Order: sequence, then structure tokens, then C-alpha cells
Amino acid sequence: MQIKNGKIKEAAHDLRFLLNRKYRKKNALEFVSNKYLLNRQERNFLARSVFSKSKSDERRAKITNIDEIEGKILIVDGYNVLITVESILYGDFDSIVLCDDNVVRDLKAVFGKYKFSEITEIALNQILTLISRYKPLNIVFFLDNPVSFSGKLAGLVMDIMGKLGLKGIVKLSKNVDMEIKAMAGREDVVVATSDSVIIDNVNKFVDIPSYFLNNKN
Amino acid sequence: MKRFFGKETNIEKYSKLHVELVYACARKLQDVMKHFYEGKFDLLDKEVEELSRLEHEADEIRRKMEIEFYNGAFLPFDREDRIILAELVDAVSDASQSAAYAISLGKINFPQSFKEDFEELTEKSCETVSVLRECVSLLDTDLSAALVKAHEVEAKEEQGDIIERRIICKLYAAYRKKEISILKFIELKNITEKIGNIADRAEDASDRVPIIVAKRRG
Repeated sequence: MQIKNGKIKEAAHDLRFLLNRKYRKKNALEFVSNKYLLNRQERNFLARSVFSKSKSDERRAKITNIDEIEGKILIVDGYNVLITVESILYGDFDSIVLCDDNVVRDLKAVFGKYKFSEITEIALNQILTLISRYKPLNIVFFLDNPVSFSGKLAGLVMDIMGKLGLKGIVKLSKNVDMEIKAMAGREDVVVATSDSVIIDNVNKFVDIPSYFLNNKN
Repeated sequence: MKRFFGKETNIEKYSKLHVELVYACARKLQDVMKHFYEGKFDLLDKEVEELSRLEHEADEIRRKMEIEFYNGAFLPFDREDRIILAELVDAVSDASQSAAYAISLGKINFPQSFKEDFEELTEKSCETVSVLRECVSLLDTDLSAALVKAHEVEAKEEQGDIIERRIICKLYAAYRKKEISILKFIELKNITEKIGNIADRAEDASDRVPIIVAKRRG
């Protein structure tokens, strides 16, 4: 990803300007992308990383420090967190971006084509070890049912949680976003995700990949 | 009543026995639920074992029935439909077993404020399977009546859906008010969906009946 490419920087500047002027994102993105002749990958980069100032401020205010999960219910948007952490552990920093809202996102968007790999278990171990240090009351680890190997992954998550003494369950769901949004209404719930749609619908969230990124740097 | 093949064939016998066993699985789930409400997990596990035995027996009968289909008097197109129907009916007992396992594995203390709702949902799922049982039995004797029963299954399943949605809304409300923990909420929601799934599977099976009727009437 050519993040430092001057063309994209200028395009991001223009898009941010239009979004701040309350232009609709879809239209503004198309307009700007056409002007700068951006390819699909570059458009995806802008779409997922550039937001209006008000939207970014609103989301930044919801970012919660990981130590605040102590004694709370932690709902983990499983694949969302796992895929980004896997990329960081692989050292695949080309696809990792710190977005306008201060959230670390993986722009590869491999979600539908996710494959269980040799790094999966390492990533899961590290994610759950990190979480266990901050002693949440319960964990609900959501995995998307339609994604391949979600059953195998669920078993692995349960095993690791058991070894770490973490209390909670793994929930396979056909509609993870909707379920997380519906369950996040309580003040004792913190959600771990970088999904904008979920973030916009919850009170607070923790950006787990950012802790891995900070340790790498 | 008109019998299509004169005397009752082995397939008809197996078909009736199969759907009876599938219905027995759904009824057995009601026994499981009774112990679930009372928190008697030892008794609950025994009922789950019994349900598994019934489900296994239903599987065996379906296999025998499938062998008979290949030996018997059915025309090839009818044979295919009846095998598909038998598999769809079998999925109903799988759904009952899956619900029972979820209850047995979760072993949560059941909140009594939900008892009536769960009784109603379980009863509706059983009623739906009961109508499916009548529907399948009528397939060999009265196609018009079987078709009426297939529509009745659909209506019962819709009623079950309404109860299921109501329970899920109530569960969300109880969770938000902190009347139940998140883990209990997820377990109960899962069980609700699994009990509702029994009627869904019954409806899937009944959906095959109009196809069989249409082909037979040619």
C-alpha cells in the first residue's frame, strides 16, 4: 500500500475536506478517486481510513484503555481483531494503517477468504494472554459462522481461554455485527473491534491491535 | 381412504415408524425441559440420553427405509422425493437432539420468569412436528389431506417464530436490565433458537410434500 504516495495524501486531504463539509462519503470518495485516478486498492485505503473530523472525534472519545476491561464483560469481534493482529505479527505492515479516528485497521480485507495458518494459534495466544492480564469478568468471543474453519477456531479459542483461566464463551454467529451491537448496550460491556459500523453503535471499545503495533515499533 | 399400493408396504410402515420416532424425540425434549426448569441436571442428562437413543433409532429406520426404496415399487421420480423427504424429516430429530445437547452442556440455572415462554415455545415446536407426522402418514392414503396438513405445519411454524422472537426480545431486555448475566443470556438465546429450529426443520420437510403431491397427481 503506497500510503506515503503524494497523490493519495492529496486525495485524502480533499476527501477529508469534503467530508467535513458534510458531503456523502460514497459520492465524495468517487469524486476524489476519479480526480486522482486511484485504483481499487487506493480507493479502499481512503474509504477505510479517512473520516470527517466530527466522526473521528466521536470515535476517539469512545476508545478505552485496555486496563478498563478489568471486572467488565469483554465482547471480542473475533476475526476483526485476529486478522489485524496476524498481519502485525507477520510484519505485514503495508496493509496496517492508523486511521483518522486513531484506530488501527488492516486494509487487506481478507475477511471472506480468511485461512487458518501457522500464525493463527500464536496470534490467538497473544491476544488472549494480553486480555488475561487485565482480568475481564467474562469474555464473549464472536466468530463469523460462514467463515471457513470457524468451528476449529472456536475450539482453539476455548482451549486457550481454559488454559489462561479466562471465563467466557465462543459464539459462532451468522450476524456478528448485529449481535455485538445489540449486546453492547450495558455500561459494564467493552467491545474489542476496529469495525466502524460497530464502533458507531457502542459506548466504548478497545483497539487490541494497537497494543501489538506499539510493541512492534 | 384410498391406499395407493393396495396393502401397506414395508416403506409405509417404516415411514410411519420413522416419523413417530422423530415426534417422540420432540416430545422427549419436553421432559428434558421440565428438568431444566427445576435444575435437576442428573435427571435431565438421563432424558437427553433417551432422546439420543430415539434419534439413533430414527436414523436406523431411515436407513432401512432407503434400502427399501431401491428394492420397492416406487417409480424413480417418487423414490427421489421420498428419500429427500425422509432426510428432511430426520433433520427434525437432529434439531431436537441439538437443542437437548445445548441444554445439557450449558447447565445453567433456568430463570423462572421465562418458564411459561419456554413451555409455550417447546409445545409449539412439538405441535408442529405432530402435524408433520400426520402429514407424512397421509401421503400414502390421502394426498389432499396431506397437502392441507403441510400448510398447517407452515402456520404452526409461523406461530412458533412469533413466540421465539418474543422470547429473544424479553431475553435482551432482561440482559440490559442486568437481570441475567451475559453468559446466561447467550445460552438461553441459543437454546431458544435451537427449540425454534425444530419447527423450522419440520416446515422444511413439509415443503417437500406439495412437490410429491403435484408429481403424483401428474
